[in-house]
Amino acid sequence: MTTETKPAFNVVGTRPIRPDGVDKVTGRANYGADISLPGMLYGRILRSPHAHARILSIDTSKAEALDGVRCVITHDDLPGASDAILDFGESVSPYKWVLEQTFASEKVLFQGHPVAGVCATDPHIAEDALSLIEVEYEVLPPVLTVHDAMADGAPILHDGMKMVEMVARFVPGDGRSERDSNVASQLELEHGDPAAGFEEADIILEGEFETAAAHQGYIEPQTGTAYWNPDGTLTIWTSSQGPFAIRDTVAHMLGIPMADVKVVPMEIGGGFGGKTKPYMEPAAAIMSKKTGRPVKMYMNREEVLVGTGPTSATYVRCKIGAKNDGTLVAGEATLAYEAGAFPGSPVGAGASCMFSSYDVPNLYVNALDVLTNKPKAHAYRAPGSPQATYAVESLLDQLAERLERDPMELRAQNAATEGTRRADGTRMPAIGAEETMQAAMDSPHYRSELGIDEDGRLIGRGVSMGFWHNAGGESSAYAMTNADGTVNLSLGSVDIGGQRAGLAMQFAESMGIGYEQVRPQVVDTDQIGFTNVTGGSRVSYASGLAVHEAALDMQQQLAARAARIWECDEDAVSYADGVLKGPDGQSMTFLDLCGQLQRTGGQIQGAADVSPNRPGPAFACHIVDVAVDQDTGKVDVLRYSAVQDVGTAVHPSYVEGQVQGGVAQGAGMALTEEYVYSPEGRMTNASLLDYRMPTSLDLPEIETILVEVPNPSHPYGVRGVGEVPIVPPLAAIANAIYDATGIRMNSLPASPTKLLDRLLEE
Amino acid sequence: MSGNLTVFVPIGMRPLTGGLRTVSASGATISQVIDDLESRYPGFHMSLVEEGRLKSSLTIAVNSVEQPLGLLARVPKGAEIHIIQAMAGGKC
Repeated sequence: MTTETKPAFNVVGTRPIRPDGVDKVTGRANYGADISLPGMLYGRILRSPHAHARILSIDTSKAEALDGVRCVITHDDLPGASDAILDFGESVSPYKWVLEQTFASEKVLFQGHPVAGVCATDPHIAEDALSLIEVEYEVLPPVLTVHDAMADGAPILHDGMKMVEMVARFVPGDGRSERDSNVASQLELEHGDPAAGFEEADIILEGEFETAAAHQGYIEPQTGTAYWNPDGTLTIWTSSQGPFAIRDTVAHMLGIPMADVKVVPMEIGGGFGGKTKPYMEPAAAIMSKKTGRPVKMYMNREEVLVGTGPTSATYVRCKIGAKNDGTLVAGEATLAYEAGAFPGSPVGAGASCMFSSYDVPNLYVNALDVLTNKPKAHAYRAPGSPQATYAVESLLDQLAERLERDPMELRAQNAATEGTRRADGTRMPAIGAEETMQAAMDSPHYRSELGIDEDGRLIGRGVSMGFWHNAGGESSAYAMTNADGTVNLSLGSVDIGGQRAGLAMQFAESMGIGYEQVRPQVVDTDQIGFTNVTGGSRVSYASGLAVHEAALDMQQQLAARAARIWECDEDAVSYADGVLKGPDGQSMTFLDLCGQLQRTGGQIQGAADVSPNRPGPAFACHIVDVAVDQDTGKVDVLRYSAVQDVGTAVHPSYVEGQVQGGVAQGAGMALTEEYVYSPEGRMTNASLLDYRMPTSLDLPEIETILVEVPNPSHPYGVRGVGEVPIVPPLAAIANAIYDATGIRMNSLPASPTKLLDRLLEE
Repeated sequence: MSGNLTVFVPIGMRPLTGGLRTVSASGATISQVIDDLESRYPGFHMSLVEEGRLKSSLTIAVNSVEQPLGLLARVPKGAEIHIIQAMAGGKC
């Protein structure tokens, strides 16, 4: 369902068939693991069985002696560390930590931490050789929660690690605290006068909330195939959200020019933020250099779960203050997010997003990035926002109950609008928070009666808002005309959610031609300018601007050619809706002119490199009905409606798909998904049988309502849509469980075991 | 030279401004604004600039729009300037 009036576009807003669809549904599309090259070798990784241990020795001699093994590599084969900061698009990391994640040097810091790699003629030989590598460890006590990590006397993961305190960082000195710490850094945000705000409040509500680590759950495991050519250039085939991030990181690690590394993006079987950094590629490149042969590496599912970065487990303490009429006057929160074994959780994003749906004049947020002996956390769809939002939206639910107010009306009363200040003090641009809330209140779902469950289960309804700031950044596009009026459109943005179609549609709209005339393709890093990751909900906005600018570049050149034919000044030629017009009534279609380009100077290329920075924030409001089985604690989602301001839905079907996918992942975080660890720090559910993601059988059809409040900084009003739908489900479902049972689940997931315990307590 | 700029001081930098949450400044570019602040609140330059560039852990927003140009970004008259901090990443 799409709301009301919007500008009339010819292509944008329609639902054409995606150009990659046939290959994908017939199994012909080539993903990372499909690559096969003559003489190819296979690499496998030996991973630490311990969560925290000192490496005393590594003996690779027996593995190297195994028939078929071509080389064994360890941290000693990596180049030295530097102070460089590497940019993965949705996150950054000091280079030295990237090296340590590739292969451990002195200590292993999580179960699954790579220790050595084997390259062999056959993957099974490589696997066998792993068992011949002898590693002597001194096992150390692990740190498994933020609370343990911050306790006095906690084992320290990184010897000499000092917390970077903001106060210390902003005065002369090196910015280090006095003592070693597992708190890598602290961020404080404040605007207004929080103390005065709480003084003014009639009601103050406070709570503590915890969430578990959850994996992105992409179906395709990480892969990486590398060939170090004899001429010194390196080619990498990989399924990544960021081919340029892979290129730049590998070039930096191996000390070779970026221009000598070509990354070929294969089709990608999901990423959700988890595939924006290299895992296998550096090791494959080193093995290829050592052997002179192409080397292919891929993870199995257990490796994906223990060896790649899920989102953080989190602890949030939150407080809100309100007047008796429901007006919010103050908010305060402390966030402690697990970074895993290396600094860099998404706690900063959580801090900046959590209150952003509302106009709260006085805010203070204290955010802590905390090290634990777990995999390094990595970006996962709106990184950091769902967990912190869960706290704020749970308290708002309590406030509505306390004031006997409708929970949506209370939210709408406090909605952020253009000019509202966020926690960092900056003002909101043109946004659609109010419109989103109103559409939710007007929805058939919200206006429906909850009814009675025929099976006698407890039923309840919950709501929640969600916010994500969206991103801009660098994108490139390159378009080439053909004599028959078709256009080849080269893109640097990897296609995860229909980007080929969505960008071809925007290009066609800008050119005034048909979608079917545009043939988009995702090309390798040698064939297009730098393009940032497919992440941050940035592609339809930033790469959309790139294809629009490329179209304008093409139009300018077309006008010059028409002027040559008509023997007039090119400034006198106009281009609109696919038709060129001259000063004396001349007229020629794009198709006609393409047929004449050969004899007027050859075909034309339009190109653009952009780096826009006004992406337009996104808001979502979700409504969910649940049923709770009192005997088992199992929660079933009965009905789910997701309302979202999408700016302009370029391809409504793909937007609806993004919304539904985000809801499904958020529902998993709310109800079933969690990393479970033994006291020794070993993950005990490292398979998709035991790590329980929701399937289509677990969820009803997710109803979507697309609200379109255009982003004024994009020619078609586009906002990012992919991430914000994962933000509200945690709180919406927790609030629905409360409505059904009277039990406030302050710890997610609300698994049957956990909820049953609470039901029995009651 | 622009004037009447309002700089929002992040909580961690307020020791430099005697606790002031906002201070006025002048300058046509972010670099000039920082020089102006340094003259009245010593320590600003060291806090924000490293090797001639804005520190990688910081972003500057002018009228609530982040400025990729950093120190070179132009500042219109009467603008609000926010110093936005990223997580520092820990040191050892």
